[in-house]
Amino acid sequence: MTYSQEQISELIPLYVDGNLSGQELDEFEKFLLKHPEIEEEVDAYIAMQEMYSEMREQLPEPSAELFQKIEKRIFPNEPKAIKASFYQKIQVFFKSIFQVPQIGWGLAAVQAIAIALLLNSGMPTSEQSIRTLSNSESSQVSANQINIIFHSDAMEKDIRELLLELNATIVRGPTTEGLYVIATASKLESESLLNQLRNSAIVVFAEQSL
Amino acid sequence: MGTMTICHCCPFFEPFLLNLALMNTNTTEEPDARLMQEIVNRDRQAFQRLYDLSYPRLRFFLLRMLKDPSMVDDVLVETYAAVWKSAKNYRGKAKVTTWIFGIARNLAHKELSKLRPHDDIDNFPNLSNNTTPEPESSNRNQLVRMAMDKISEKHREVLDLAFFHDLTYPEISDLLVIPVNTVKTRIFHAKKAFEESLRRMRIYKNDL
Repeated sequence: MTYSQEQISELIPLYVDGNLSGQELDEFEKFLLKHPEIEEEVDAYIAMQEMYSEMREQLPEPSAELFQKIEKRIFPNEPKAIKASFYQKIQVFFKSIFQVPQIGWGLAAVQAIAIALLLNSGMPTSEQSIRTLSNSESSQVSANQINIIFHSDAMEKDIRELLLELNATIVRGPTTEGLYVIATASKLESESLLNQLRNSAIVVFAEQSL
Repeated sequence: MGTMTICHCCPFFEPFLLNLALMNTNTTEEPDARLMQEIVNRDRQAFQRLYDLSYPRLRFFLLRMLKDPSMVDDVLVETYAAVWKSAKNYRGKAKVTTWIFGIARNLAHKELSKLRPHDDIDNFPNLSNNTTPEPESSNRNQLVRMAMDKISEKHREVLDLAFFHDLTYPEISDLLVIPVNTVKTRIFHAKKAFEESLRRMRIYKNDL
């Protein structure tokens, strides 16, 4: 099929946008070779589209002030508009911010970083999270280890005082059943230690660990 | 695009997802007939939404016609007042934007005729035969804009409507109240005039 000059002119937008294919594209390109003046038309179209594309980026934001004038024009007998409440001003402010894509993406990036930091910080995610009294530093396994279970309503402060009194530290635990393993410095103290632990009001179970 | 459904299962993620939803909102959405119906029902929030959606392009359209920003503001106020008053007259045959542009264009012509009562708006002078001195601006798009400004108002308008506002030939025909074939011919001549303007400004291919 051979195209007329007018038809070719109408195909220019499709050609520039890459929407011509197959036979149409071949015919167009053949015509372009035979009629170099069409190339000038193509270049002018591209220049125009680039100019319009730049203009689209510069389109103005809706003017709140002008809208008030419009409302005054439409409702002239209405009492003077109540000043925008603080909440409305905040809404307008955030609306204007989020209409700028770069700010929106920037805020999203900041929030993503904040979320990642929070998740990695080890903060508890629920009120029922267990905070243990375990020594955070890795410690050598002591020869004298005791399995111990505290009362469910035992206060952390009381447990800490008891361990301090007995010169003991928690090396493992608690398990889901509330079992801790504590360690003392000397084997000699283990019997009296066990007795003291069993006599404590906050201890439910205490046995030498195997 | 529609709005995203925010997952409320994790409050940490909600603001992040809300931001994504706002970023993905299409701010160039075309107002539709449903919005017009809400305006007919005197929904002022719908009217404001129509204003927000149509204002950027309408202002651009009027600024290209009138050049004077204060005159543009006056015409915009009158246009939207007319839209509110005659919303019930919108029949849905044309796009809402095209309908509003039609109102704005008529009001703009009335303003221009007050300034130049004896001129025919559609017959502004065409490109002069004098060679234009080489432009000083080195910005390519600025040069192209200067070339566009030198063609007649009639030609510039139809190029803006077809290639900036993306109106179809029938929509331009409705807006300008001219036959579709006249639209085609006018666009053809407008493009020729623009090419000639580029040539006269000595903007060659390697400058583009």
